[in-house]
Amino acid sequence: MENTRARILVAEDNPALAAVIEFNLRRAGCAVTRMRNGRLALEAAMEEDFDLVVTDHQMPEMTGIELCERLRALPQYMDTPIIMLTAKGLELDMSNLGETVGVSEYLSKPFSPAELVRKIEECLISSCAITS
Amino acid sequence: MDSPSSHIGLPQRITGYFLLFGIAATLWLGLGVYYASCRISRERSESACLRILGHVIRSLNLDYMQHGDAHLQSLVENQCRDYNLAYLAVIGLDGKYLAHSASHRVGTKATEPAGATESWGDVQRVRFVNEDSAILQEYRAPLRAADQNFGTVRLAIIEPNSWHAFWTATHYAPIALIGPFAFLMIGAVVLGKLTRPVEDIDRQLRRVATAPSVAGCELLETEVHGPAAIGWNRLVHSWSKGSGQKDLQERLSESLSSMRVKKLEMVLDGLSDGISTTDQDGSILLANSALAALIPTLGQLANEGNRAEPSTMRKQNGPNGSSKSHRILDALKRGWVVPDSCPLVDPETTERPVVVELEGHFGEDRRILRVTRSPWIEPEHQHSTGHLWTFRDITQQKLAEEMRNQFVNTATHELRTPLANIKAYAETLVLADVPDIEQQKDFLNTISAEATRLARFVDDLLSVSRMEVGSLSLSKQTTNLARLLDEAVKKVRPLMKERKTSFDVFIPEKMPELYLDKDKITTTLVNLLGNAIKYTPQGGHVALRVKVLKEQLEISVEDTGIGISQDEIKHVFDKFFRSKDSRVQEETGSGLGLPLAYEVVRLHGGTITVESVLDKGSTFTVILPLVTA
Repeated sequence: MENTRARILVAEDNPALAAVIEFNLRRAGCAVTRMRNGRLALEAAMEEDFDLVVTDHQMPEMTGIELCERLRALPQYMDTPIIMLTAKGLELDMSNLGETVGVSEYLSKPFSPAELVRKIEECLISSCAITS
Repeated sequence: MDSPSSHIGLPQRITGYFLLFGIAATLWLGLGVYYASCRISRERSESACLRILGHVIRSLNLDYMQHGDAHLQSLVENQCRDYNLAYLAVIGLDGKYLAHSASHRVGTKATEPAGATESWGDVQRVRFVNEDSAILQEYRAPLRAADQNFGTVRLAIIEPNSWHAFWTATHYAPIALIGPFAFLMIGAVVLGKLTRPVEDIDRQLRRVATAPSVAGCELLETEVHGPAAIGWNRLVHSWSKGSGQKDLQERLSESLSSMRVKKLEMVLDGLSDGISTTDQDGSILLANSALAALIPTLGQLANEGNRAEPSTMRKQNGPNGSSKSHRILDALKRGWVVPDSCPLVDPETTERPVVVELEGHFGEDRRILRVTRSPWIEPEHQHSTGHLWTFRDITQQKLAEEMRNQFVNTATHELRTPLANIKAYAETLVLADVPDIEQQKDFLNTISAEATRLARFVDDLLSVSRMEVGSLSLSKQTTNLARLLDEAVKKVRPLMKERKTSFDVFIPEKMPELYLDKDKITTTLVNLLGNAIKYTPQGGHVALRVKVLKEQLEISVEDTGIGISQDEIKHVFDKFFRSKDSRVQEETGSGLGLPLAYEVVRLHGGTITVESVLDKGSTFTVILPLVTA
């Protein structure tokens, strides 16, 4: 991770939250691309390969769930870790999301940025282990 | 009826007593008359005797003066015969009979009978009993001729004997009593006729009296004529009420239940829920008018098969006449979507209650029907003989529920998002090393702004909950309108700049002072202006126009924003309503701002209206009455 900066796509409609996530991830040494809805994030993901995707659950134009499904349909994102942020802690059955739409991890709002960074690191390490 | 006393009817007894007392009275009267006549006849005979005695004395005196005692004997015999005397005798001074109606006694010594003697002057009367046991009255008086006493006259009559008189009276009794008895008999017959209706009624009433309960007695119409009988028959008829002989309880419950049925019909038809009972085949036995409105196809089905209109409650004669095509489910399927998995279709569920919600599309409208079916168990049957169905249109309820769910989602999102930002920024400040003072300030500003947003949302929630229970209250004060508008404009100006929206304000120079809730009206205006900015793309225009009319203040907020579709415009003041438009979804919002604005304006006695064209823009107009304190 020190050698090659992990490229992370952040899809989040709330600019303030996106900004603080970006700040923390850059601090952790990642390259961050911020998109304010699912559709734009999908377009960005098709143009550039990302090592990890952080997406909000509830976004205009394309929700996080739809983004996940679209990404998993793409060959280059079959195994890419996807972390979902959601404001609907209890309303959604989170344990199901992994199987149905391929979400790797989820964090419910409000979350700790340190926790997010830790999860991202864990995911990147395990995905490296799989690819190697 | 079986007791011996009841064998003799009331009329017989009335007639019997009438006769008994009538005869007794007649006999008493007869006895009285007899006794009186006895007394009168005795007194008559006494005076008659004295009169005869006078005649006899005069004629004897006269004869003795003219002829001496030559004709005395013949005169006595004639007189005795003429006056019908027991005997007549003249006794000389020597105490021997000078003359005697019984001629063989002449010359013999006069007998002195022993008996009670009474005397009036020189007239004496002796009552005695002779050898034949007859009571004789002998009257004695002295005879004088030329002032010379020449003897005594004795005449006797047989006193009428009591028994003799009685026996004589009995000869006349039949004639004397036949009249009264005849009248009594006629009276009895008339009485019997008059009381004949009573006999039947009396017998029936006696039966009622001895019966264990009134319910078990049957009352019959009487066949005899007369006003009493007519009255009784009418009474019995009204009790039987044309349905023959029924006991009282049955009749009472019948009349009560017929009233109850009428009331129940009215209640059933007044219900907004559709109600129906069906037999096991689903044929409708009973339906109320609401059902016809909910399932219009029911009427069509009914008409096709000559079935009863469901709009009127009607009882079918039975399941015999029904054909399979009239099942209630068939009717339901003609407008509502009944999936194959629906429990109504499953034959296993017929013995237990089922509740389902069906969706239906009627033209543009999507409606939802809640159907409840429970087995219909009649008391005399152990198992269900049919079903009781209730149908309720829950479209509005569902819409409200959906809106509420949407609100919960929105609210959760609205609460969590600022919280997430606050937490993320605060933790970043604490844990990460943020050397840049400006960045630290920036972070703290974000935290502050998010906290404000959170607080405003909580305020809105509180207002809405107050609005729902109707306790949203105003604290009115005399307010400088210019200052109020200025305050509202100041609050939204930074946003206008941020969104690069041009903002025109048209406020007249002279503004009245108004008596209103300053804070709530300011919030309302900020809300309307905020919406105008939120839903107007960059580079658009927003205008605030204020006009002071004769009695009204008109404030309008115009924008060149995304507008509102005609379908949704009627819902913009509904609580929790948010447009389905993605351009609206993109913006944060609770769906509470406009309903709150509406309520605040309404409480001020004003109105708020909206005009909008999709993709062109919207105009919200608030009209407030010019009220000064």
